[in-house]
Amino acid sequence: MQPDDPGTAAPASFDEMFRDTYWPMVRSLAIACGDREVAEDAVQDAFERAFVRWRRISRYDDPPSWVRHVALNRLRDHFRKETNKRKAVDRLSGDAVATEPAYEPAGDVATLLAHLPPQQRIAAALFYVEDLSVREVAESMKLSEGAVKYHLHAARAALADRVHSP
Amino acid sequence: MSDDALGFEPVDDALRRELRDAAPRGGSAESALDALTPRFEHARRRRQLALAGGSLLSAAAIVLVGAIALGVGGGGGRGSVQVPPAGSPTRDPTGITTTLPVPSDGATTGDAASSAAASASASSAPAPSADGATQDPTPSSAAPTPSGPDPAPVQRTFDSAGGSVTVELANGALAIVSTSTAPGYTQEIHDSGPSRVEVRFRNDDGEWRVRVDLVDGQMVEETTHH
Repeated sequence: MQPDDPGTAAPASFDEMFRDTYWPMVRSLAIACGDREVAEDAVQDAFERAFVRWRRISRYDDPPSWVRHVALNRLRDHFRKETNKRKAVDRLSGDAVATEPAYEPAGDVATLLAHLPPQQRIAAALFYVEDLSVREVAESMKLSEGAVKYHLHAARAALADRVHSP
Repeated sequence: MSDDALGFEPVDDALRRELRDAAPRGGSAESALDALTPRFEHARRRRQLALAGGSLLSAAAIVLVGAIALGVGGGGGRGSVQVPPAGSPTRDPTGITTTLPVPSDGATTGDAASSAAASASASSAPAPSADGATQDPTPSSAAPTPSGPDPAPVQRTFDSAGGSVTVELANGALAIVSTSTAPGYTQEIHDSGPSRVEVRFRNDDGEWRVRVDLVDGQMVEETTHH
């Protein structure tokens, strides 16, 4: 497979990035959003955008962070639409407004994670599941490293009591 | 991650283990890549078509502006045009030859609308040179104006990552004027006219094809990568 600029980037570069980061991104975003299918769609969309813009993206210092950031934006767009849709349905039916997306995680800690604020969920998922450094998490979320540490600290404090010691 | 450890290693380790266990299993990246390749390729073609469509729209807009400007200028408006050499006969694409007034400083006067129209007219109607041939002042963006009985030859340059091709449209026929190959590429002239010009630029990674067709008296470009 060959991205859009064979002259400036080795064709293997995109493929290599894909092979190295596709599944780790899907797994971490699935934990962050609680929906594997939505996470996969978001990551695939992000890789598609990277593929057609590879001439530009390949010159970035950290192309995977760009892809991850695009995928996170797609996730936010998805859940924003879902939330708005749900609010509209609730308004029409006269029920109370529900703002949290449906979530069916596969473990106690993941269940608890689902109820944390989005920034904490994302930071924790990228840090623990994808094993990114604080700097990489900050780059992907377009936050400062201090802000990422703050979110990780809050997530850790909320989850620490529920983890099982080895 | 040890450099990012925040002092809660035991908790971090446990969180890492439990969250990873809860995450969905990954599959083969290679098969995922194979499965997504057609979608990525399709997206790239769609983007290239969109970009080419945008270029065509720009060219059409320039032609339209030029045509409107010629209509204003040819309608006997009081604005006049600065077209060097001033005072010499100038032919517009309708075949009408007019002599422009010679302003004292080489510039012309007129209201803003007519000046703007005149500028557009000047850019889209090339001034004839001594031998009757024309040099398009902006070959990459200008398009041939509506043809008259004997439209002046028009040259345009089409660019790709592999190189560029300068094509001339004269007497209803296309011809290659020159080509320029980007470093690392070789070129092959696949068609040299009169109805189609195609030059292929190759390197180890693929091939760029710059194709120009003559459609209704206009040059229509298509640049693709294979």
